[in-house]
Amino acid sequence: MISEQLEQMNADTFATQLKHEPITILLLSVTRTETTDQSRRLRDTRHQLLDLWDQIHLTDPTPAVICVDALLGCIKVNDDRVMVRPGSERVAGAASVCLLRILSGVGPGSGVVGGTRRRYTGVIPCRVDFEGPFRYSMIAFHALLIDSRERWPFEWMDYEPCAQEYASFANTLVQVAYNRRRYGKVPRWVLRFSLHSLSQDPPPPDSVVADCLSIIAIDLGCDVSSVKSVALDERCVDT
Amino acid sequence: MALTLISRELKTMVEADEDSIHQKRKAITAFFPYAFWRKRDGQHELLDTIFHLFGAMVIQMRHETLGLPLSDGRMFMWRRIGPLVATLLNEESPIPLKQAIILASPYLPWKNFTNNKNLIRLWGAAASTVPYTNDIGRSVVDALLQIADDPSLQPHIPAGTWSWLTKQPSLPPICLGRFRGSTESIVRAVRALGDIEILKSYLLLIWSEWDEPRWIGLYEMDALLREEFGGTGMGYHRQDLLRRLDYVLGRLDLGPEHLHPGPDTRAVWRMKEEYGKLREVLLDVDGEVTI
Repeated sequence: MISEQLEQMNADTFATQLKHEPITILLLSVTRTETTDQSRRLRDTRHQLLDLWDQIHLTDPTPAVICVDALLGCIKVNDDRVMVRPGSERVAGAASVCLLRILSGVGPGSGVVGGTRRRYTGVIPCRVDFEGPFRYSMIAFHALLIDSRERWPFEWMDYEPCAQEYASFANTLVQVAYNRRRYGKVPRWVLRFSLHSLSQDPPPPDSVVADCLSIIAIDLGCDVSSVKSVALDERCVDT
Repeated sequence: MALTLISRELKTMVEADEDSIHQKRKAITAFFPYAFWRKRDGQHELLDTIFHLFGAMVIQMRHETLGLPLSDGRMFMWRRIGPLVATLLNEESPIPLKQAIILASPYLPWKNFTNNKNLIRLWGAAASTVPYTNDIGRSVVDALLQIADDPSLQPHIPAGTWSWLTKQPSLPPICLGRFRGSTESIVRAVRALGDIEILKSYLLLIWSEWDEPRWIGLYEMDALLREEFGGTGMGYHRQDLLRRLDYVLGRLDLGPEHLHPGPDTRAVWRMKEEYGKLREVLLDVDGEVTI
C-alpha cells in the first residue's frame, strides 16, 4: 500500500520517483510527523495542507493516482460507510485534500479524472457516506469522481469548518465550478454549497461569500474573465 | 465584481424565455439568501430584481401550462431553500426578513416541503406579524391556496391563516394560487371552517376572468351556493357574489384578445358557460328566497 510505502521511503527518493515534490513531501510529512496528541496532529496536518494547498497545481495524472492509492490504502468500507483506519487519519486527510485540489483543476473528461475514477470506483461504491475530520473533502472529490448521472444526495448542514479551511475549500469549489462549467454545468452540490454558505447568519468570511457569489456568477454564464481579475483570486479561474 | 455581474445577468434574464430562466433556477435560488441579507442592511434592489424574475417566470410558466396543473419540476425555486426559509420565519427573525420571505412565498416549492409541516405553521405565524399591505395580502393568499392544493399539507394550515381571504387583496392576472385554488378539496376545506365571510371571500377571489375553474370544484360550488347562501339573511352575500360574477362575465364578453395574458378562445367559451351556470344557481337561490 502507498501509505506503507510512504512510511518506508526516503523523501528525496520518492519525490524523484514521482517527479512531483510538493505533494510527495506533503504526504511524507504528514505520515512522519511525530506528535503524541492525536487532535494536535490533525490540526497540524490541516495547517500543513493549507500551507501547501496554494502550491499544488497539477495536471499530471501521476499525483492523482498516488493520492487515490494512498487514500484507498487507509480506508475501509463498511455498510456503505467509508471509515479511515485508526492511525491513518493524517494520510487519508492529506490524500483527500490533495486529490480534491487536483481534481478541481481539471475538466471532467481529462485523463486525470479518467485514470483516477477507474481506480477509485473499483473500490468505493457510488452511494456512500464518509466519516472523519476530512469528510467534506472526501465528499467533494467523491462527487467529482462518481458518474454524474448518479444523484448522490448529501447535505452541507453540518459543515462548520474553521475560517481558514472554509476559505480554501470555497476557493477550490470556484475552480470546480469554473472547470465543470466549461464542459457543461456547475455541479448542483457546488451550488448547494453556495446556498448553504450564503444562508449562514452571521455570514461566513468575506472571501467565502465572494467565492460563493463567483460560483453563482459562473453558473449564470457571466463573463468569468472579468470576475477573475477583480473578485476572484487568480489562481482559481485558470483561463 | 461578481455581485455586479450577477445583478446585471439577473436583470437581463427577466426578458429571457422560460427555459433559460428555469435552467438557472438553482443559481438564482443560491443567490436568494444573499439578497435577503442585503435587504436587512437596507438594500432592496437585489431582492426586487429576484422578485421581478419570479414574476416573469410565473407568467411564462402560466402561458405554457394554461389549463394544466403545474408539475413540481416546473416550480421555480429550488427545494433546497427550505432550511433557509424555516430560519427566516423563526420567531426571532426581524420583521423585514419575514416580510421578504412572505413576499417570496408564492414562489416556494411548497409541495416539496411535505416533510417539513412545521414550515407551514411558521409561515402562518410570520404572516400575522408583518404589517399588512396589498402585496403582503396577495402573497399570503396566493401561497395559502397553493399549500391548500396539496392534500398532505392542507391539514397543517393554521386555522387563523384562512382569515387572510377576507382581506380580499387584488390578485394579479397570473396567480398560481388562484389557478390551483378551485379544487373540490379546497372548496370543502374552506366550507368546513363554518365562516360565511371567509367562504364568500374565497369565492370572490377565485372567480376570475383570468383562470378557468377546475371542473371538479364547480360541482361542489353548485351545492355550496344552494346550501350555504340560501335564506333571507344571506341576501347581501348573494348580491356580492352576483356582482362578482357579472364583472367576470362582462370581462369574458370582451373576448380573449382583451385578456392577455389569459385564457384562449376555447377556455373563454367554457368559462362563460361555467360562470353563467353559477350565476343561474345564485339567481335561482335568490328567487326561491324571494318567493
